[in-house]
Amino acid sequence: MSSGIFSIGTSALNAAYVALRTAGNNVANASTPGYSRQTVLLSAQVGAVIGGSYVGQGVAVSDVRRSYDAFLNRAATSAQAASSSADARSTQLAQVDNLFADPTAGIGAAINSFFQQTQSLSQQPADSASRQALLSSANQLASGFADAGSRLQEFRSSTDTQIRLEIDSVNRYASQIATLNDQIALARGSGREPNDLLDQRDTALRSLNESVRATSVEQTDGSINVFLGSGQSLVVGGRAMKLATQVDPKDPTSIQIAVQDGSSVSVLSPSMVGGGKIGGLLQFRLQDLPAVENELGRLAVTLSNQVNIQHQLGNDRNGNPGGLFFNSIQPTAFAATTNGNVATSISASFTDTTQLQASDYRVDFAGGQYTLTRLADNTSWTSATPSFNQDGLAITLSNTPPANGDTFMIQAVRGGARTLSVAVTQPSEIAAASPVRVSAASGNTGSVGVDSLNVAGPTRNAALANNTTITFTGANTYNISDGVTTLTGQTYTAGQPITFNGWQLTLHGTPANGDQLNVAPNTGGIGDNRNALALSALQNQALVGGGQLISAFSSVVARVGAETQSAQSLGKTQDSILQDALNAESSVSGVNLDEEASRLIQYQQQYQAAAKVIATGRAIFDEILSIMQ
Amino acid sequence: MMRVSTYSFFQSGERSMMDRQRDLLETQAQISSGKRINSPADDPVGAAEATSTRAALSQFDQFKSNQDRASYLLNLGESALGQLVDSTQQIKEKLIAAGNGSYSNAELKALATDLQGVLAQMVGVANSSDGAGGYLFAGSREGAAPFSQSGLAVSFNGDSTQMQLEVSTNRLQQVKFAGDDVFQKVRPGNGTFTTTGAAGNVGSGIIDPGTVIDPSQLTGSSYTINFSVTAGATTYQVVRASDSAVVASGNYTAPATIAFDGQQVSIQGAPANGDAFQSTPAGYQSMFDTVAAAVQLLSKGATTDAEKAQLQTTLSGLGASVDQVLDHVTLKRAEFGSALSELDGYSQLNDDRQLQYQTRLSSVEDLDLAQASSELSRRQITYQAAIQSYSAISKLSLFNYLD
Repeated sequence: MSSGIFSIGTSALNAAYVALRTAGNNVANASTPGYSRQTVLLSAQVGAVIGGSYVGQGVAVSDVRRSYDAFLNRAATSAQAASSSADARSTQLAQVDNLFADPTAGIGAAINSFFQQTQSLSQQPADSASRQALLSSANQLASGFADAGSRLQEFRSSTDTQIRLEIDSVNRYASQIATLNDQIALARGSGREPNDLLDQRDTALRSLNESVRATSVEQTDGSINVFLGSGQSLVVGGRAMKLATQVDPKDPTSIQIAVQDGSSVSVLSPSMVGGGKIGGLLQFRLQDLPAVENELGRLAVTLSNQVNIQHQLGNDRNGNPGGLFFNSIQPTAFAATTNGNVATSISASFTDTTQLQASDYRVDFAGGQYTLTRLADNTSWTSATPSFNQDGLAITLSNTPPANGDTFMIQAVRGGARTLSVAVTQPSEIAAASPVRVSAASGNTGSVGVDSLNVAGPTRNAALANNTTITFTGANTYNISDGVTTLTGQTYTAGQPITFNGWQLTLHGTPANGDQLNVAPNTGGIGDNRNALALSALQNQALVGGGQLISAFSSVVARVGAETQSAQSLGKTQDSILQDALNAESSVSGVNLDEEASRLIQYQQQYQAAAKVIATGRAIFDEILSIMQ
Repeated sequence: MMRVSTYSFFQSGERSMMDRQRDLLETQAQISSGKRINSPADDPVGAAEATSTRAALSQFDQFKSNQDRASYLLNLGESALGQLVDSTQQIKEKLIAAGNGSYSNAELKALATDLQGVLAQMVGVANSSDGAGGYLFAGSREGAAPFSQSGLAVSFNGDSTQMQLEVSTNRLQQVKFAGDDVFQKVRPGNGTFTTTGAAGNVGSGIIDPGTVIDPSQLTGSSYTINFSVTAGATTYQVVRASDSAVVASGNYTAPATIAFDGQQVSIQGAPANGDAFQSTPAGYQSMFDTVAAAVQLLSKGATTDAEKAQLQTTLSGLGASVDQVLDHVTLKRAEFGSALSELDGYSQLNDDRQLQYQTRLSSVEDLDLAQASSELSRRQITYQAAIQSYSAISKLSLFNYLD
């Protein structure tokens, strides 16, 4: 009977000790991420019948359990994936945004200053200082585009590096989870909850979700299977697959994510890799960045091409035909490396740069038909012949037919900004003058006068500078001849241009019979500013997507700003969702030090009381012993 | 009841302090730059608008510079033509003096020498510099002086290209006038046709420069007025060169006014048998050639009656031509004047629009400083409250009371 009280006291001492240890462990792990606080579950030991009644036999520690809510944990983990994704994207976009932060420097300012200098050149076309100033501002313009273009390219490669690093951590966490799965299954087999292993696995899954969105399904043996996006397995029990990046066979500038399971490799579509930093980085890498590159590239291509066209219609300071002002930019096109017929190749060229769209294109060959798809809006055109003339682009495939299912990629303007450079090297090579001049014969008696003499593009007529005589044969008729071609009996209407050999002459007034006008090469016309004026006029023409050059640039700015702004606000929203979820989770699983302090007091007192029980037992025993003496 | 874990208590306290600090920095950055938009993400639409507005402003700056240049060139041209008007008036005075008939050949020669001086002056004006290495009247051939003089002959080396500058959006303003247009494209005579006496005339007949009485009847053909004297009676016939038709004829009594095909000439004196006069449609004649012709005429003088009659005929023709020159120069000068006043209009418009766009840019981009400073102090207070409350609450713990 007296031994009963000792065993009760011992069980109480033991229980209090376990409870104190657990509280101590909770205090120790108060700041450990992923730690779930643990509580001791006590139960009374079944009593023994003594003197006809059940008398309690003390206390037993039935379990040490972690405070855990699977639903809250899952919510926090998925919030983590969404928040990391938004955060990664907005961090990348903010860098692009910063590229356009200073309105007084960069591309916008360079476009303005380029056109200001063409105007200044029109003030003093013969002056070499004005020519030099235009050349400098053109170089500035080109380097503004080239800098922005190569910064965007740097963002691309640094994003790729980040994606690779994230994939490394995905692989690390996946194998960690697989190992933990094995350990947990083993522990479960022994019938006990391996609390700290479970916490570790939850933490690994949470960290995995920072990199990529992954869901888990628990198995009966306590292990979990982890899936990416819409169902690609990443961890199955104790086995983890490996993710890797590889070059997109359809687009060498792009990357894709592949999953390796043993020797089999399958490619994950970007939509399967949503969420997490990888999700955000991929969205930036595959959508945001190409869109900005294409918009900026289109502007560079159209600007340089239109300036070139006008420049080549003029004459330089030495009276020579104007050459290329900017080095001409060509579209990039390539066949997929996975194509069945490797002999088929693709080429593309610009036909009208004012029609260009800020998009990439793809040509697919299937069922004997070619399909051209504009990737920005997925508009497509089909053709039975291997060539397309669309959106200012001429696309031709040679060595056709390709194999069924072969694809080809056209990045028409993607590299435009990066490759913009000035072709003119000497100030005297700038073509400010028109190649032709007109003069009236001194014997003219009619009132006919010249309004304008323009050179029509886009290409310079070979016979442009032929000496040409217009002889009026009456008030409304004329003959025209350059010694090679002679047209007689032409109708003259004041204000209607006379077009010949690539020039357009607009006249006013009424000619008399026999009046003559001569169109001749503009030799020595160094003071002529007509081509400089025509170059300036490009500034206000609708050249890019139906708008002016500068509007095309503003729309790039607006686009980048809006994307960044919305990514930032999405990031803020996701972050506050994540914080709420973490708070909810920690309200169940987190350690509160005040609570633990009160536990410590409580179990300290219980321990003291249990000791008292033993002391009392000993006192009773001593009492009995003294009676027997 | 919601438990609060100690870890998340510290974390959320820390976060809210960081947030407040970021708010504070954001306002501080705006105030230090004076801009509401520090990157496009701050206001995408505003940033795009600012970009377009800046482009417009840079154009207005350029238009202003173009206008200044235009006004400079037009003023130079205008004053050059002012000098030309003076020269033309001098010529006119000399020709009137020469025409009074009482001058001796020596006096005519002296006038010719004076006119030669005026001619040199005019060539000087025609070769005016534009003050920047070019010429006012060379057209696009600015490599050499537009007019060169050799003896009495003045030739034009420029071209007809007239320089324009863009002084407002898509508005080209002519700022230089081609030399041939100003100095060479002058209609001689009465502006429509010229009259001359035939070189072999022996009588004392003098023809005036003539006038146009009905422009609708003009044919553009030349005419010859042939005189014949038979038994003391003088008759004339006007023959149209284009079809050899006789368009007028009659008996001549001095002075006679003869009208044909919309034009009319007066003839006085006594033409001899076989004398003839011509009316020729006026092509262009350089004003230098007109002066040169006068110099040649006056330096040659006249002795016989026939020569005197020729002198008078030619003088009156030249007088009319010089009137045409004066009209022409005055008209061109008026063109400069109206170009200048048009330019004033554009300049005013440009200034107004520049101001408008600047206001717009500033309203899009610039920070309302008063608002921002009050925002700054508000955020400062919030931040301070966050730190103070955090440091106060974080000290509380049950462990402080255990011993």
